[in-house]
Amino acid sequence: MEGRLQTIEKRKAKWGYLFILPNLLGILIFTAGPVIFSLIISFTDWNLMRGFNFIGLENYFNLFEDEVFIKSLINTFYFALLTVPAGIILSLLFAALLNRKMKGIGIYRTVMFIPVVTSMVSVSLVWSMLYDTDFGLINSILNKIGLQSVGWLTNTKISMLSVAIMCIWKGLGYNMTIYLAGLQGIPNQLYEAASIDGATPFKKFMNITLPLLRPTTYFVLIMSTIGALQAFDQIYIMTGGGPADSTNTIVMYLYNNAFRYLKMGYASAMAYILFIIIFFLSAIQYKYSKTWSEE
Amino acid sequence: MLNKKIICTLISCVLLVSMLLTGCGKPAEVAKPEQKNEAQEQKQEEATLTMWIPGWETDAAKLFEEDAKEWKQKHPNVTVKVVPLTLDAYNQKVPATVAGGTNPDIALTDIGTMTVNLADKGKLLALDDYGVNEIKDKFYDGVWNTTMWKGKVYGLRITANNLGLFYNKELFDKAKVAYPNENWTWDDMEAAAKKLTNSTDRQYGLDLPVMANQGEWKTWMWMCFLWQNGGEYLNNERTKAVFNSQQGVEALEFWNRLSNADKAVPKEAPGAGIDRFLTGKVAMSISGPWMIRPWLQDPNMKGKLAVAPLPKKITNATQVGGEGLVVFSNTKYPKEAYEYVKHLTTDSEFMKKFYKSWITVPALKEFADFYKDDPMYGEPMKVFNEQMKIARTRQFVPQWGEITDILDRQLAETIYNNKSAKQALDEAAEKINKLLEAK
Repeated sequence: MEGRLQTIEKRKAKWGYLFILPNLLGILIFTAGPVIFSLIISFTDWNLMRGFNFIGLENYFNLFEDEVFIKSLINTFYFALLTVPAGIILSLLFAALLNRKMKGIGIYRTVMFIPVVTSMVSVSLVWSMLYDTDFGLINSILNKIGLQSVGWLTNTKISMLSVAIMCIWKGLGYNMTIYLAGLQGIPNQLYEAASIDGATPFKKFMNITLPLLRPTTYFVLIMSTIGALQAFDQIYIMTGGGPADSTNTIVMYLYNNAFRYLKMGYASAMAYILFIIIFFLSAIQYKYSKTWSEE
Repeated sequence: MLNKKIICTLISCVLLVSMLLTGCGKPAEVAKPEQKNEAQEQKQEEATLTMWIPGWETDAAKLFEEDAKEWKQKHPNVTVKVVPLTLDAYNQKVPATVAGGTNPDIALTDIGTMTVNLADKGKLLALDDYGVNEIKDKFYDGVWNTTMWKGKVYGLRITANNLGLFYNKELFDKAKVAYPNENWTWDDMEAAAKKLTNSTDRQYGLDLPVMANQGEWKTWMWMCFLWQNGGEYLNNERTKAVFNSQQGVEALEFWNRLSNADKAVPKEAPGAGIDRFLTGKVAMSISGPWMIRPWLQDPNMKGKLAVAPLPKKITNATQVGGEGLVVFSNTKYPKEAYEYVKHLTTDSEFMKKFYKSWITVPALKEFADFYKDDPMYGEPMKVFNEQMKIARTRQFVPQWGEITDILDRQLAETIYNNKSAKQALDEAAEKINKLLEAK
């Protein structure tokens, strides 16, 4: 009996593998392969055309003497600092506001979620029109209430902020939905017990909601940080990294190196630096999240 | 049990097949080299040439296809397969396929920017051995020079173009400003641009691509101003940047003044799909003959569009641009490929049809007056044709894309971050020199 069951299991497993084979092949060929390949070429001077020359760590050393790379590294962190904390606080706020029974709640939630499912390309195009110094909606409103026009995307001091504002708006719905799920997982009796003890809504939020949302916050924090460090589409469309490199990010500069200067080795080294940064940030966050949940 | 098995097998087959179809994108293209091999084995003399052309010029694409059929009738052993690729990334696709060896035999590309890079790496066929220099005199010198790299010819131009000054006559009339003419100087242009700038209507005098853009547009245009002021971009050996001369500083200061002090140039990139010239938001715009047709055909522009040569400072100067045909060095039929490219770029009958569909400056001298009697294109094309005499070639080097971005960045530093023009150009030159030395 036992043996027969095993063979059935085995047969089933065979079919199971067959079913996942198409996707598995896809991942091996189109993801795992390039990941390994790019690690190898990051140690070469490959330029798409000629064969490889192994040059050791030269690409990596050169990166840290490259002013534009350093600047785009700083810009990328600046972008993450602008978008991640603000995005988390705002999405938690909206999730708390929309986590109740009221008329038309579905509509409100949908409205918040629409930017998420809209493509980054179209969102960026629309926002660059809104930001236009002379003809944009935002400056027209400012002018109506007697304020000066702002060069949202042309002033090097605020161009990154402008891009960040758009990204916060675009990502809000996604994080909010995750927070909503987290909020709905908190058992109601905790709030009831707190009410009996005379806790104010603010105290309830601070002492029940926030601690129990820690795993959610951890997930949102990691995902938004990774997303922010990889910013590209919006930059490519809205500013192309300009003016004067004020919005140049790592991935934008990587793209230029790989596909415009054809420096594949150099660009791959950049990709691995970015990978190491993301890896360490995630590791740190992972460690902290553990101490959080142990508290 | 049996049924279950059959269903499972069927489903996995369907999944596999659909994955193959979606995963591989264009199976037909991938299979190309094999097809060529088969054809060769079947019949020794049979030559099949694959030619890629950007598919957005649909009329021209049709012409190429028709011509390939006629060529087959006259040369039964040569089959030309025309493949129009409607891709924004056409210019990236070509070098990418070269890396994998799946490139076509012939391609229509932006001559210069891409071809020098490919030629330098030995990926293009030098046409000198096939007698290309016999037809040198048919082309303008400025056009011919763009196909050269280290003394050899790596392609033939089919179109040429240069930059001219488009202006909106209605806005000039309204502001009571005299139209630009061939004697216009920088000062004339600046004075007119200031008068044509009107902050209440949010109208600007002149459009310059000062906002950072992907690509060469900004530095390409700025170079005209450098040349007009007597400056040079690189030294003759192309080993050193020399644009940080007094002439270069003045050219950058001129752009900076127009953008910041005069506020006559919009510092914004035009919004997606918004044409500032067409909508009357700028009175003058510097562009090439490829804009004649779209602007002339737009009802907004009816009776308002005119073209003048670029203004001068010390001298007149403009840029040569355009497309051409290149043959890749790994083609199996170099002779046949060259013969066909020569036919497409110099055959009078084909050229006549071609220039009717693709409105641009002919690369051949004999067609200088091609649009002369054309009621629509005659007048603007005359200016561009005249300018071919003063149109100059960029001093291409394989690192062109990177050099362009270094200068682009520093032009922006002056215009957006108030860095002095001298300092900005010095820094750019220093970095470019390092790059040229490393080669």
